[in-house]
Amino acid sequence: MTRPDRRETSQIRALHCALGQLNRADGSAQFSAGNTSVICGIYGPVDVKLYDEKLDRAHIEVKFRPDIGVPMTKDKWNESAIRSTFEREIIGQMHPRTLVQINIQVRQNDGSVDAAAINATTLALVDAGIPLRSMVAAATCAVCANGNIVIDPTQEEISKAQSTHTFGFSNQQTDSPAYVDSRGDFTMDQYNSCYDMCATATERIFAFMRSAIESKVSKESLNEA
Amino acid sequence: MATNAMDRRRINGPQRTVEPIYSKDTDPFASGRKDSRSLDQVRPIYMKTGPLSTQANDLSASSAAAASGSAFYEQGNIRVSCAVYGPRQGRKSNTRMGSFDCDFRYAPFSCSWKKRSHVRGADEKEISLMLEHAIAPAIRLDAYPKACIDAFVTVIESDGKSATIAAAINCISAALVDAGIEMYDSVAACSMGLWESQWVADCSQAEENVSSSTMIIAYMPSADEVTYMLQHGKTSPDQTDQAVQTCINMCTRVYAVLCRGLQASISE
Amino acid sequence: MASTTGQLTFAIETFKRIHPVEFQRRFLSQQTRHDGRAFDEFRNTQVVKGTISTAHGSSTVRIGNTTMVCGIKAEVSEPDVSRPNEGFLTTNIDLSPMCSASYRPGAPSEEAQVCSEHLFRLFSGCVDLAALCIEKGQAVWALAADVVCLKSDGNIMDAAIIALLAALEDVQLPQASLDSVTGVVSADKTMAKRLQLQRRLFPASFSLVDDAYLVADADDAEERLATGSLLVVLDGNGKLANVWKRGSFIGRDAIARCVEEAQARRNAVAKALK
Repeated sequence: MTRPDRRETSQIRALHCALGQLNRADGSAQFSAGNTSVICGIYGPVDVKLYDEKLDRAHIEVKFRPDIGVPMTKDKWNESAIRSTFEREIIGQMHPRTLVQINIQVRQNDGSVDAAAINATTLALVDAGIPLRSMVAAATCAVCANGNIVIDPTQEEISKAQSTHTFGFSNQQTDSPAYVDSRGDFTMDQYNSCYDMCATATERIFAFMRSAIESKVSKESLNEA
Repeated sequence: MATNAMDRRRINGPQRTVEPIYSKDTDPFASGRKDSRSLDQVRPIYMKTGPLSTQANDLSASSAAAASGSAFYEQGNIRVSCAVYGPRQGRKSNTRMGSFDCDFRYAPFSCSWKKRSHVRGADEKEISLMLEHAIAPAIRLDAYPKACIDAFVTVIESDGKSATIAAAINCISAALVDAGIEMYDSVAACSMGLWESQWVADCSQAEENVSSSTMIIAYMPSADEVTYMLQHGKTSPDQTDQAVQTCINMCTRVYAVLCRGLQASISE
Repeated sequence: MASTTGQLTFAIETFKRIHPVEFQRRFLSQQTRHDGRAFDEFRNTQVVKGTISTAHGSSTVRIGNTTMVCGIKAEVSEPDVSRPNEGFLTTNIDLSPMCSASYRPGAPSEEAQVCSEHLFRLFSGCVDLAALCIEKGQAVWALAADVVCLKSDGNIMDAAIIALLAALEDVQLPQASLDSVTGVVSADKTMAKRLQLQRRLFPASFSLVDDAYLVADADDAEERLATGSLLVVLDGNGKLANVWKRGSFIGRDAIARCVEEAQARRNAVAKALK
């Protein structure tokens, strides 16, 4: 049983990222996995509205925009997922009474978009120089109708899947996930297999992120010299 | 027919929905009133104060988010729930008098005649204003300078439009007492419908549909003052006179029930 | 009753109000909770079906002090062109300032939107939309389920899911037929049919309070200190329907334990639904 794009079940799509593409934002990153592509721009720390001001830490705001149409409740749902994941990772205490705004724009949606959004946000936060406790990477798994578990599913695979599982991991803590969203009809065994598969995939994504950041930093230091 | 405005903050259904045609209801007065009430009888009232607010002896209830006062009110099929916040800091802080604001809402499933849209309708705004006018004269607003008292009313089930408004007034009155707001008197309200030159008390929706005129009166029995009066449809001046008298009598009876409920809540 | 911090002595009510974090910690560090529950104990849950006569299906659910009413109205509409024999189900939750001072009046808050969306995602697979068809390509039922929160004291998600499930099970759809000449749909209330659900959902929520204590079914005071939350939803056969974790880290083993506890909770909820 081959996948529509002839990948192995445990093979993620080709990753691509570009840091600092948006020159008006304080930090930005574009993250693509195959045909799924997300761009994230960070403004922060900037002025905060009086209503949102927090005395001891930065206020974090997430705007999630879909590739087609106006933002709806499903995008609010994504905003809340991303905010709850990064609220803990961003060391907001270093910038009290400010705002960190995370703007996410989906460029192309071919499945696993929430994982791509988390990955893009991590890279953009690093690019913006926002102090972080750790980096977060996420991956999605899908359990197909025949019981096969495939990683990084495309939209076509998701629409036929029994259940989909998105796990986010921090590079500091390997035994507890930072974000879990498993949905559909599944057993605990399937959940565990997906967990392991996503954990392995996020290790690859972390390595990819690290090399992307390293190459950007080394390029910048060359320019300065 | 309901055209459902696209709202990106909610889950949207189809753009246009209609109520199917149900087999016709029979005449509500065909053989006396359906629930065998007499013409001047109000439906049985059940009232409970403080379901949403913190009870003094209840440690487990959270104190920060709870309302200052609340009430749940039933009158036949009508169910109304109200929470009162205040006196708290108002938006218009430069006034010598406190202000009383009311927010009236029908739950989307509360009406028998149609599914209500989530967007606040003109009627809900109008009723909010009516409630403010009906209740505000009873509150000692001069005792709360720069403060604001907010009442949030939700109709969970309605049966008769005017009767629901009257029920909302009674419910707010009870919640205000529960919140310990200083008042001159509690406001009691009741409604009537004119059916073939007969005034019928506390009409259900089916009865209201066939009545030619309706009247709502809010009244403070101890002070003997009417705070609000609304009449729709045509009547002769004599009929209106008669309706005012009957309504006031009924309000006094409703007031007695309210008072008994409030006394019971204290002695609990 | 009084608690002491250093030299100061407060009444317990005062202590709770001025230092809620410390107040809760005193209990949690002793492996108990401020309302006397054990960490894995859920509050008493009551379900009453068919409470509202103006709705086609309704229910009232209480979990401790949290009270929710769910009403479902059925109306007729044209089906989507791409799905000519499927009806509609919409699920919305209303968190008005009436149920808690932390909600503002006006448009739905982010919390309400996320909750509505999550309910929709969960329940779209539970109702057989093809059973809502009146006449293929012409008329279908559109079910509008609205959950109104009357009193919010934590764990809104569980209460909303149970209320929605109970209301859906209570739905009685009138026998409807389309007059092909006039295009009018007429319905007969005396010949009502109960809606069959494909799947029943049983939720169990857990909160990570103060980054250290994982408690089941947190109330409002505990939820204010929560840094993470976990929702486990099981179906009638004990299979998983949703695991949703947000916020701070909850260990892999802890999540597995919560799934076990959710199994026990499923039986309790099923009993309350009976």
